[in-house]
Amino acid sequence: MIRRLLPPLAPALVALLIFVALPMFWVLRTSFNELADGAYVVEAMTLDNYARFLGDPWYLVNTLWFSIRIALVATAISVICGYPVALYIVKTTGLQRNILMALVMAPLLIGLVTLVYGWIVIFRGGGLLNSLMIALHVYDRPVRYMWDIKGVVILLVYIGAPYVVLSLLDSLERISPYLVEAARNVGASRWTAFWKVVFPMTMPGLYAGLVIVFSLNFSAFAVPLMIGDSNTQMIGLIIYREALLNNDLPFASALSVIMVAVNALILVGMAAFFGRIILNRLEAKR
Amino acid sequence: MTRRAGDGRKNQDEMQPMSDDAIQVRRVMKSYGTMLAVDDVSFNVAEGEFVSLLGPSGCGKTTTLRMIAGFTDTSGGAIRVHGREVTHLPPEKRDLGFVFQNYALWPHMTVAENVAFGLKLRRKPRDVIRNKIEEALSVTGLSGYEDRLPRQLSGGQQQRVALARALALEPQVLLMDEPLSNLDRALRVVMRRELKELQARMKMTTLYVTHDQEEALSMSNRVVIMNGGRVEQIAAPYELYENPATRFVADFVGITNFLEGTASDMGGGMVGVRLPSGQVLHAQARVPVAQGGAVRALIRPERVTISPAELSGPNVLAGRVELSEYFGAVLRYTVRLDSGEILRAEVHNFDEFIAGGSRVWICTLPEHLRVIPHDPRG
Amino acid sequence: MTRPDLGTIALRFFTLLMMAFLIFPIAVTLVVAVNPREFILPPNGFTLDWFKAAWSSKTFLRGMGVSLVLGLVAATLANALALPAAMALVRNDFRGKGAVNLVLMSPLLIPTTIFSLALYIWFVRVGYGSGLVPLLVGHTIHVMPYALRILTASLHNLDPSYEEAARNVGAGRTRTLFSITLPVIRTGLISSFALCFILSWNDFPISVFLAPPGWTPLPVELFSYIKFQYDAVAAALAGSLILLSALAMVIIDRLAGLRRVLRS
Repeated sequence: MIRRLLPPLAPALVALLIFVALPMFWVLRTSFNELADGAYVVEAMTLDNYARFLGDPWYLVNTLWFSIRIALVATAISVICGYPVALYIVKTTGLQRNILMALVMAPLLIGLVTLVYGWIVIFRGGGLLNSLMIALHVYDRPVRYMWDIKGVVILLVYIGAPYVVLSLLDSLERISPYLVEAARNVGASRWTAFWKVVFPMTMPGLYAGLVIVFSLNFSAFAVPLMIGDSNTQMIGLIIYREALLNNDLPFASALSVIMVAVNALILVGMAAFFGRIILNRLEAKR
Repeated sequence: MTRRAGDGRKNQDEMQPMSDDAIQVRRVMKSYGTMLAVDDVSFNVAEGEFVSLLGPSGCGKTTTLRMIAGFTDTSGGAIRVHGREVTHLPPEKRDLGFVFQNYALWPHMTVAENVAFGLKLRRKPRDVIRNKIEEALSVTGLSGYEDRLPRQLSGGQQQRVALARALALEPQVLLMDEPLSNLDRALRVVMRRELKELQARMKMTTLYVTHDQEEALSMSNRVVIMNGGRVEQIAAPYELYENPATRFVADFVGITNFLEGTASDMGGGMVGVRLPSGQVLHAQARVPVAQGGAVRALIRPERVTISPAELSGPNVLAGRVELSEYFGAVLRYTVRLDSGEILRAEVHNFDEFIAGGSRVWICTLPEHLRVIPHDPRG
Repeated sequence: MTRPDLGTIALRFFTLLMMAFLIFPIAVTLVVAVNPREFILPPNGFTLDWFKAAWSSKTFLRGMGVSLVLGLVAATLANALALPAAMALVRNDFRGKGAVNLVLMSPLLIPTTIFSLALYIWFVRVGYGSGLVPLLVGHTIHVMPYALRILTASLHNLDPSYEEAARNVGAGRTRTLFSITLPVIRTGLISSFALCFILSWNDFPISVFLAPPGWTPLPVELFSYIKFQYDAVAAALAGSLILLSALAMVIIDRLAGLRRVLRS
């Protein structure tokens, strides 16, 4: 068995070992190193890099806590925007469905920079959005979207919502329409049928979507880099800046470790929350 | 993995007797973990013979065929083709034709390319290849379809291409795995006849796997009946029906009534079956049975006389009609015997209709009654 | 069909709004790219001047060249790594198969920021200065799981009897691979290649970490451009990228079904 499996699997596995596992390990190791003379990495075993971040209220509030909050908010909005779309798409067929699916998937295949460019045209001071809003008398002075938290959230939702739709569709398509009909048949209203039958069955898809979108949002750096400002210092952006602009690889590494750890903690929290919801439903049924 | 000629010689003793049979399967086994899919199967196929492997799904017939073709490794035993040990050869070295259940026509190749692929591998000259394609397609009635893609053909035509592809290589032996099972019934009957005619004309040694007893009985010289990974009986179709060796065969091939009893020798080639009621049925002895041993008497439904008037004689059973069904050409009765057993009877040339609830007498001739040893397997 | 109720109408309305939201920046970019009046909407005509300018810019052409080479190499390498692995996974059942699959898909689970940083630090560590190799490696590893996913799906749909039939008429393993297996799953191969290429072509996060000086891929080039300049030439370039992505989407969807591919 091994003799038959090893040759085809080895190249990919070795590539992943050398270019993923070892580098990831090396990030962990580097996070304990020191930066000497502002440029050279010196082998050490210190927690200074962690202390520098965790001991600094500015970093904790404006970077870590800010990233968590903005990621949660953007994820929640993505779910609110994505759920109805998935519900609608699952009922469509043929050309209509193909068009809707193409539109949903377009943001995932068109590059980020390209999309950001479109949003910049929309967002900027005298841009489309402001002209539109002023013309519609929503407000009468241009509002700042570019280099602002509003723009960052809108873009995170723009990229996150399609993932939510796709994950939910996976779940929704598995629900037999007979289930809903059966519920209606025994007297459930449309709303009750949705709430008691469809919604619980989309929990796995919803959870999968939340995990992906939250992780993407939490680690985002390109979006705050391109349309954020000094008030949107997300942790991914700090990593980028420390690594590439300040060349402080130990600090960037420590930040990466913190980011992965916090991300994992939040996902575990979500899993526990979702697990409880599903368990509660089972209890209630009994 | 690559045992070759050296071991082949050692196996020769096991392969006794040496014969010029086209296929020899000797004590072949296939196990998946602790499950035995094929359990000690042996049979031969003579040159030019048409042999079917018949059995219900999961009986190991397809696995056996795939082991002969080399698609599945054997767990034990040996396979010879024209005296050459092939047990451990890769499939491409075995020179056997194979027709798949789903035809397995390569979807990216035209009909002609499908047929030509094997010929090209053999580095035949171009004009030879062209002739062989033409010949194989004309034999299978597909001339003019050379440039079609498989998906542009009907199921029956695809089936013919699969056959042409196998025949073009003039294999020593043709293996077919339920080749007609994906066709609708009417076409299946037509193809069955064509296939048989073609096989007889080309004197092509054929091993044919099917779960359809009609197919196996009508096409084969001999049938290997398999059940649960084992061979139940190997015999000509007529023999299978007339002289089933086991209850499984009797049940699988046609419908049979079973009456249990103990054997007693009657002399003169006759055997008696003492039923629990004490009545003794007389039968011709075809299979050796032990005196006093548990046996089953087999009665084919169409080999009985049924009468509303009392009959006399040794093989008369009395009972009451529970159900009588009229099918036009045939009347089927379900009779509850006085001893409590159910017996089915069919009457083809009837001039009276016996209503349900009537008392009847059923008679069967000793030469129509078969006796098999009681098989604890059921 | 029953008459659509209020809920369905609301759902449809909301979906339309969301679709408008999704198409908005794409449409705006395309409109600005062909609008003769720079950035002044609504457009008053049609011009390809911005496209001409974008396509004659030395910087952009060089970026395109880099992205092209990068995309082709990364897609080729990723598929070369993924194909044998996919075959081994589809053809065999063994203990730990799930784990192996998870390991092979792991690049999808790691945030791109961290993966890029890790590779950056790793190549510094092993003493390889800045060069093309880290960039190629980063792109290849990043897109490999997608190739694995498409190829696994195609091989699942491949009837094993095609290969058995080839072996039966005398083709060895290698011959069967090249004459039967690969041609039969060619749609999967093409869409896998197209997806890997387009993901690499459009990538920004990995390139910004790993691109060596003088080898700036197009998205990074576009990023630096719009940071300092703001004109419709950038729109034309962005528009070109959108059209190319759309083409790739059509190819992948026709051949493999986009849905299956993008599930994360």
